[in-house]
Amino acid sequence: MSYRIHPAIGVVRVGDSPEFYLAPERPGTLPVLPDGGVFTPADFRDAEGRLRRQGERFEVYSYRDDTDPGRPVRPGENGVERIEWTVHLANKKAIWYEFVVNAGESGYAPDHPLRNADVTDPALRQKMIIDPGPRTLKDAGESVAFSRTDNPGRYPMTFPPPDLRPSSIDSLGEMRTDREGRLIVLGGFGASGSGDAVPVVDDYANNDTWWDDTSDGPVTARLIMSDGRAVDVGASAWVMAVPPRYAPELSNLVTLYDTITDMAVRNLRTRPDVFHDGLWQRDFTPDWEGDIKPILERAHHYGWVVAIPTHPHDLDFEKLGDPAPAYNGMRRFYLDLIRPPDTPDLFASPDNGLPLMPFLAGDNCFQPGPLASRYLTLTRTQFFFLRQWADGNFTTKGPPEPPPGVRRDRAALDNCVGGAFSPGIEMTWICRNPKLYAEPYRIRRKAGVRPPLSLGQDLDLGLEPGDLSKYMAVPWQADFNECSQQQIGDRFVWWWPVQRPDFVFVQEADGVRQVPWVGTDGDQNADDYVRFADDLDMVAHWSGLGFVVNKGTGEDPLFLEVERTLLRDAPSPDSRP
Amino acid sequence: MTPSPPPLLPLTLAHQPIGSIEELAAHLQTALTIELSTIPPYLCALYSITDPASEASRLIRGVVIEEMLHMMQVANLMNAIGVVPSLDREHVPTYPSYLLGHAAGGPFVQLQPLSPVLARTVFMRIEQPEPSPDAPAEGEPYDTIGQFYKAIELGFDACVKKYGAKRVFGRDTGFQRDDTYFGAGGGRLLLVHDLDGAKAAIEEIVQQGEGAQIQAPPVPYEEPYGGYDHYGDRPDGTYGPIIGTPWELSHYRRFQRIADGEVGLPPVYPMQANPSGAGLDGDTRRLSDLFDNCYTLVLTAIGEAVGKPAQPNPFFQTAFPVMQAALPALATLLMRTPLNPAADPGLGPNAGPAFAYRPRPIEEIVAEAADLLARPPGGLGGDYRQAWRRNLGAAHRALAGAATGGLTLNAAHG
Repeated sequence: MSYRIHPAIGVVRVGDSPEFYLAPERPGTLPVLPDGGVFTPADFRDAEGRLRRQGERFEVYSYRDDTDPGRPVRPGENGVERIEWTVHLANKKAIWYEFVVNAGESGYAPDHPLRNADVTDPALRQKMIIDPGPRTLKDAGESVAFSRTDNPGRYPMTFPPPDLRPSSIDSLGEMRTDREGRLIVLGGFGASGSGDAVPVVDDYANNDTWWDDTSDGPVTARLIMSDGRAVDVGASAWVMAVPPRYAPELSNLVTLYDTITDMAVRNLRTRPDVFHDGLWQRDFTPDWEGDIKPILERAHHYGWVVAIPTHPHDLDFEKLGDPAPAYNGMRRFYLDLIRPPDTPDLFASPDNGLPLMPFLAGDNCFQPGPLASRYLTLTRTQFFFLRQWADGNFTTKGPPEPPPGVRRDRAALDNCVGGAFSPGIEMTWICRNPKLYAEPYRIRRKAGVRPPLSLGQDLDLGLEPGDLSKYMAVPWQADFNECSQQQIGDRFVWWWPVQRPDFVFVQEADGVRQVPWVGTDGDQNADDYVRFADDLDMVAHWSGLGFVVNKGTGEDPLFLEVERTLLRDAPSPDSRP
Repeated sequence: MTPSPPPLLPLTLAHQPIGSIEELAAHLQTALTIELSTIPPYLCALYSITDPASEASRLIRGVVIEEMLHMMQVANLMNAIGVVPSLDREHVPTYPSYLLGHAAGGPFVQLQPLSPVLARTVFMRIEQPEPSPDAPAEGEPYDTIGQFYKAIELGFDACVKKYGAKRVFGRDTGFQRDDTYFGAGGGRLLLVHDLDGAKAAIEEIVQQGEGAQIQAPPVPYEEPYGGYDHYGDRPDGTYGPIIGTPWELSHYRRFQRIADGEVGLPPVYPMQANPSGAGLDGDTRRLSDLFDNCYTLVLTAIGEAVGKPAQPNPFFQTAFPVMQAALPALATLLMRTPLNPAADPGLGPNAGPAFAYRPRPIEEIVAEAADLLARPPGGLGGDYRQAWRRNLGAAHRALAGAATGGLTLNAAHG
């Protein structure tokens, strides 16, 4: 019998309310209410209009062997008396390297700057880590916070100074257990602050003297058996506390699951039927429903969150899903519109001049040179699937339903951004490093972590708390504000419009109207058009922005903005020319 | 080689209103031919641009795709009233020629490489807006295509009034289709079942291209057109989502931007004007004929797609892949082929696509492409041989797919 925690990487999202709902358990679905009730848009906010946090529910599964689909472990059943859960969250953003596009993915250069570089004393730098220490819950129905005030283990906690502006950080979240032996982890409150008297945010990713309350860290469990034995769950999990996702029912073209899958296919021999010995297996037949249609559907749905021409994204799925050779030309046409993975700097097809898809920014659209990659591409694995599809080599039988634990692993990651990483929303390019993983989708945890947490890292030893989030922007609101649309040359492309919409549809008395998600409607030259003029405004107002949900049907969707509490400026009739 | 003399100018006559379904059908067939006749000159200009990623390419490509949409839209209008559209020899335009049915003075339509003068004197005049929203309806001859469509719209009104909607729209052939347009341009291919549907279809054609009725940039906010879902030139000088207006999106305006030099003219192949296979010989002649064969194959397949209960689907099976892959590959190869082998192909004059009606069975076309592919000519240099292999290879792949896919599909459905 072996035990594993699912989801392997859980994703919790910040909110300024003490209340919470739970992460969606399937990709592209609404969140789940803790009591199992049906989630409605009103549930995004609490009675006071604050944004509820999104928690993740972890479960231990037992497996008899490799072929066993597994089942959740419940206290009082099958010889298990209770489950002890331990979580350790930390935020190391203030002491890590500056985020400079993709420099560092293959190791940092000796001149790569550190954040807060004027603090050189290692002891002082260690104090800049937000580390409340680990928390353990030994039984069902308990809770504890990762806060300054809740420190049952008398851990030598380190928190930022208590008087940050505009917001101080007193907690990274909390954990609680339910009656079924499950663990719910919650993240921070979206509080970000600077130690400066007059806080300034002048960079999208690196702002010295700033902290935010996102975090990450390991989730481990120990089973206490009825005969008194203690069994440590071998396959531990990880939790990432990240910014909100404002269009939960839509998916990014490349999800974090896709990116990690591609890493695993090419490096960890997880799918020898797809790739082995350095060769893509041309006899592999991807499945229309499982491997192809989701990619095209995501492109199709982008029109709900960005301003793009709708007609070319209105795809004829019936014909595209038909393997008949009559449609080879049509499938080939669409394949030719997709930017090949190894040409991330190519805007238009050199063959026919058509702009290549996706119309999204890449990992490095700021710095020219050998690392430039201005536009996003699909993963190599996704592109291989599409090539097979274009040739008519695909099945239409539908994918098999995965075992429940695997499904949870996938759902959490499918709701995250898999590119572009500049730095991204949840995780950055470090997710493409095979050394990160104990097994596909499961982070290698560093054993025997003792305070203080390390200022460096050795991926061969595994990760410490805070080692995933430390790459990300500080405060996260800066990058979140600026990563709306990106001007490249005389063109605009988008970042990750599902997590952070650019244009949304609102219901008005005389119909549906498309407006910029953040700022002033109608005036493309307004300084707060698709983003706030000052990143500080996002630090203050992120929780007032609206969510995008499907108010139509699955067949005939109508994604509208709901639950916006922030006033939306419209140009006054007098100002119209 | 001497170009054939232009046909006599038609006489100007007062407009006789359309009074019967037969007359309506005849006008629609003329409209279909007019739409078709714009496509080869636009394609020629498009193919002549050496950098397909240039702004001018993007503008013209958008127009061509929308002209295809208009052609299919007219076919739907015809099928809606029980008349099968024809793309047979007698309805396929030859070049150079006056625009069919146009009043005295042109435009005189020629196959030429792109130039600002071509954009102004030919393309803008094809897409000339109506002089005013009150411009009268006109049959043949007409002053603007918008006025010709106005006559068709009144013809629908008159026929419905005279015969009743049931007799006008009750004889639908069943060959209308709304699945052949997936370009990046605006508009939609509409199915037509009643008078309102017919008017909506006509409005879309007129507004999109041949003379949007607006002659000046309209007032922002007053005439929103599809929200932010069009890309265009923004007030801050960048290119991105805009509240597009009929004016900005019209074909007339797009050609005007090229004619006025707002969009830089990219390098073009030095193609001879109004190319013809007649004066050619050897492999260049075969290449020219092969292009014409493919062009005719596309027209035949589209004709079947809108006029026959056909299986497999001739549009997706044949017309689409040949149009997408074979036509541009063969046309640009011709445009790289000097008429005099001693001439520098950068200077020309070079051959070009004749767009002549030249039917041939698809198996023979595939065999001809294969034969040519296997014999890259000497004497024009390595670059030319490489282009020969690449372009004829692409054309052959598309043609072979169009030919064999159908057989497989028949077997599968057998």
